[in-house]
Amino acid sequence: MSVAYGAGGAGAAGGDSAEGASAGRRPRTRRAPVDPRLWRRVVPVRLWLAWSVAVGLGLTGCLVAQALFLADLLARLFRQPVVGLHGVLVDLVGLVAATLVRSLLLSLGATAGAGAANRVRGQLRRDALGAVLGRGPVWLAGQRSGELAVTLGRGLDALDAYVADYLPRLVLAGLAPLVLLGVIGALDWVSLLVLVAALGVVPVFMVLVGKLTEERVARRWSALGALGAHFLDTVQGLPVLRAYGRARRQEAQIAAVTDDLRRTTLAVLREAFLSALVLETLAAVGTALVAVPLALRLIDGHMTLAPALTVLILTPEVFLPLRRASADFHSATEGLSALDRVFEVLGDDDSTLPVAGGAALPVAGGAALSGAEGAAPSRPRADRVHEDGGGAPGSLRGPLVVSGLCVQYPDRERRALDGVDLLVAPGERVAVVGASGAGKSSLLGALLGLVPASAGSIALGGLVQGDADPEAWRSCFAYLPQRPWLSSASLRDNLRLGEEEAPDAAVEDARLAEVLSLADLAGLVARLPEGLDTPLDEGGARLSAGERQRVGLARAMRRTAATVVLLDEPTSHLDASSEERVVASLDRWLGGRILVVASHRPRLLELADRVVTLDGGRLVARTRPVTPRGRQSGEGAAGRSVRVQVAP
Amino acid sequence: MTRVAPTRDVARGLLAVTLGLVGQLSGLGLLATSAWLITTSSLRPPILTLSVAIAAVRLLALLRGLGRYGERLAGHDLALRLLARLRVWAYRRLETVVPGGLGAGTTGDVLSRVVGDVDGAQDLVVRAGVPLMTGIATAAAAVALSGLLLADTWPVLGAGLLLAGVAVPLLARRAGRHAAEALAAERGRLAGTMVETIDGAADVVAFGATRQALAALDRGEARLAGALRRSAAVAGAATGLATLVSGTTTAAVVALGVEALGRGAGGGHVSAVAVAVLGFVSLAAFDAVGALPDVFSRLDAAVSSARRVQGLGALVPPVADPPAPRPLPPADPALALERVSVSYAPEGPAALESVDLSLAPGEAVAIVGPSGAGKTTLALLLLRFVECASGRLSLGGVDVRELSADEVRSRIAWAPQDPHVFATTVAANLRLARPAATDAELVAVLEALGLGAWLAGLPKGLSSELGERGLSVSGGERQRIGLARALLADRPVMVLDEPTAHLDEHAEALVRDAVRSYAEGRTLVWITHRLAGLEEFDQVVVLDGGRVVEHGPAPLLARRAGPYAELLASTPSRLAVPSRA
Repeated sequence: MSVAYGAGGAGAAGGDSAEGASAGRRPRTRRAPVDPRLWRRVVPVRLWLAWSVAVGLGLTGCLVAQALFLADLLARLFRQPVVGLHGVLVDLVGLVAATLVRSLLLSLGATAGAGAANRVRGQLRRDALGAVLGRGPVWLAGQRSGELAVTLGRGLDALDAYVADYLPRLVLAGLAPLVLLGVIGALDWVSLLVLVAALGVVPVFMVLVGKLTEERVARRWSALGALGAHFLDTVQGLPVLRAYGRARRQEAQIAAVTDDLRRTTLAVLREAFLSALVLETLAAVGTALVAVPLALRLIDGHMTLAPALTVLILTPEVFLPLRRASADFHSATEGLSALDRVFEVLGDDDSTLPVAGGAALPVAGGAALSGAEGAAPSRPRADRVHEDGGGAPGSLRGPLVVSGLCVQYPDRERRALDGVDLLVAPGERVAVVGASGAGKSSLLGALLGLVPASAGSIALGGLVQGDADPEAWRSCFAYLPQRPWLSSASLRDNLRLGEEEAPDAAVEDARLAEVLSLADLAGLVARLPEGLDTPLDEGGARLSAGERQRVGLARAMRRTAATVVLLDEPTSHLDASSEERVVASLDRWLGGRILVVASHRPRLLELADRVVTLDGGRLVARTRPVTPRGRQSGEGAAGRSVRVQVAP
Repeated sequence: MTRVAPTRDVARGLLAVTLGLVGQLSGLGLLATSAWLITTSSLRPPILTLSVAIAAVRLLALLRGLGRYGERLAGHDLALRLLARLRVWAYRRLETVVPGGLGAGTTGDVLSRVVGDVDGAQDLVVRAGVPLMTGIATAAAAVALSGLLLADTWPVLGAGLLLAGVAVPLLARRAGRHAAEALAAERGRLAGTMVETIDGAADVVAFGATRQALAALDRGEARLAGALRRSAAVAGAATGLATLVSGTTTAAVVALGVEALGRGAGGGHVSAVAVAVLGFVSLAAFDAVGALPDVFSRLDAAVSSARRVQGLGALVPPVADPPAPRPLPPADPALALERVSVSYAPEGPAALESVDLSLAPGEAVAIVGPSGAGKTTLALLLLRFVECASGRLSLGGVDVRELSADEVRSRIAWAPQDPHVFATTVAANLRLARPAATDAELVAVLEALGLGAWLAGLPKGLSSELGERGLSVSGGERQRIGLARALLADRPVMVLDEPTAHLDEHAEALVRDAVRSYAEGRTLVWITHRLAGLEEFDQVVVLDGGRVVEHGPAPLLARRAGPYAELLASTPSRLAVPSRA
């Protein structure tokens, strides 16, 4: 039908040039058109496919109706006496009505496709982000995180076209030819035989073309990649080329390489376009092969006009969905490659990747625990070990016991931590020093459970980390990393990271103002145009490095339920006077909390009860006692006597 | 771009369009002839009268695919020929303005966008121009044919084709523009959220904020879903409308034929066969314009790419050579800045303001200051990549504006902040600074910079391929490759921009020592934000907000309560805090 041709033509003509014009794209790889993992994991895909089958049947039905009405109308014109418009009114109305239904189905299909794409993309993105966060920072550090973020962002967006457009077209390509062949067969079995033979030739030709060209095409693709990237490479290096007086001679090089690119591309295309040539030629030849015998049998009187015209109208439609689905395939590949990466993250391929969190931490269970008790110099005499309700947030009080802790990053030869034993009494403040790379940040990460231990154990208040729910464990800690991450959200949201919705906004704002002033940021809210609601821009770009650090510190001090405070270089970006104010308020705020701080700043070392030194992942014997703090003795002061920890 | 297309390319374009037309018209002819053949046969004429039509049907069937195949190849051939010329043209423009003339923040990102636009402009030919012309020409042929068969029908068919092929897609683009923009914006925002969340994964997990992060994602997804639905609704309505127009137009054309046939019972100038052929011509014509909506959207993208590329022509090179450059002063590499100001836009903020600085031959100067202080601009100024807005820069006492910029550069070795590593071998990456360097010299420089072990670990040593399609290079390795170039270049002045930013303390000290000993007798400008080891430099210049706020030997500055001492205090130091006593 006009319809049949019209609506379909776009796809058939559309996908030609992208196949090879721009170099650097990968050749198509063979894979199942509907990824089985998608089918298994994403339930909406199944519904969408079922819907696509229904709509595809409807569209094909309309097509058949249109062909029947038009053919009947035209056949009537050949009867005597000549009919007027009223004689073909039923056919005309039927033709327009079928067109109308078809156009409604197409509109509806587009909207439904967007809905399906939304559900599939939404679920995959959510699952993938959940998996990324679940796997934790160590796993993430082993990934190219920039590329991963792009895959989960823009990459998954490319899936929209795959779900909304490609899948229904694929369904139609499987469905419509069968239905149409059935109709044609009912009208004229000779035409059916001709078309079945023509369709049967398609795979034979495809295999033949594929076999003949595959190797050469694949070989040329890699050459194409290099040629295609040359221009970008040269332009990006232009500053260097100019500095060394080499820029001008690249002009000729660019012309030569692009000319090479043209020749290689055309060599590839001559073969890559062969498959399209085969499909298009077979579609056209199929029409010719059907039309000529029909004509001969009409002359013989073995055939009547109306079915002959119906067959002629429907014949191109048999081939159209195949042509379109094959032309569209390349546009689906981008979405499919994002899909591969997402399933990799989700572990649908590979379940051996480590998952951060209690369940998968390779802590040696009870053995490690008893080992911990054995290694500890003495069971802490502190009286504040509550073993009640180990999972409740912030309820774990008591000593922090680290024994035999080892951390091994997947891509490193040396262990980042190698048998660390450390006992921190309640209320005790420990400073960790050591060269960069000595393992300070790894120690803090392991205490939090962000970095999985490869051996040894960590216990807080008698509860072993591996036995605890990871979220509940981490809720006992207030943490300031070396470079605190700030999002582009508001200052309030940044400070309240990980907090549930506050019941009373005014009270909450007062608390935030308090922690901000503790972190020497009392003037910040007044300075920002929208106060606490001011977005901090990408990466907290609105703030200076020192302010970002102090917002991170305020965020840590916001966690009043924490019993252990972990600070990684908390004052590295602060000047002396700000550092003084921050350390003073930190001293007050800490109260009876355990502090483990990685820093070399003398002012922070003064805050500590003792200083331990990490070297190459080991706690070295050289542990410096420091002068006791000259502050009012508070909670847990009894356990704060200077202790020398000697590593074996 | 048209101005670089000579006659031969016009001929190639015509060839592509002609081949495309052959394919499209064959399709049209195939259906029309088949319809004629079948309807005529039903009147049972002698079979001989049909032999021409039978042969024509078979021929047209073969031409259909071949024409299209030829069009694609000819179109790509032309597009790639134009691309070669466009690339050279764009490169010539970029060569005069990069890195100083594209604004302060000319990153690799900006350049890769320019390259994307240059490559995207070729779509103008293959994916927009050729299909547009063949589609319109085929539709015109169908309209003409319908006029020949029955004069009354051509305005109806013409109007239907214009409506379905041009008006509806253009209207849909107008109606959908808002939705499309919203969709792009939501996708961009969500992409930003993903980058941010994955970037902060450690903190998100540490603070137990996973639920919050997922909730933020859900909110973004909900907005994106709405935008996609609205955008798809417009696109779906357009497809439906075009389908409806094509169906009703065919019905109308046939109805006109029926009506004429009825009238013709008396007058007799149209046959039933002609009416049947009309119906099939209408079907085929809508097939030909079916591709146009896609073509229009590609045309849009390609035209805006081409516009941006054309914009390169309007860029003014920041540094122009004098008509008759003076010869370089012999062997006196003394550089002097007198009250120099620099800004990237005529009315824009000053990146450097009234800077005085003299660099005596053989002197080692460290430039420090917070980011954005103008350190990199100073390097670009010395290399003649940006021009003084006021003040005077002289080399050996001669104002550089009287010298050829290329010749000034030939005196200066430069290691940029983020040096590009080309997709070629290690050796070729280094030799671009000194083509005559021997392998032994290359190895020696790499070893001096602490890359000996790295080189030994490469599969093919100096012949190993690096970059995009070769081995990936870390930030620290990249920087030291840039440094190695500067050392190899053997020039009297060395300008090194943050050469140790990606290195740890140990490697930094090694590199500093290697450079210091290499720079013996040369002028060294060492730009850094790290303050370690600066005691060895003859002078330290502290920049802030584009001005020199302090200068002098490091130990002196450290004792003074000035900007340098403040920098010292606020710099994260790894092991020991420098004594402030």
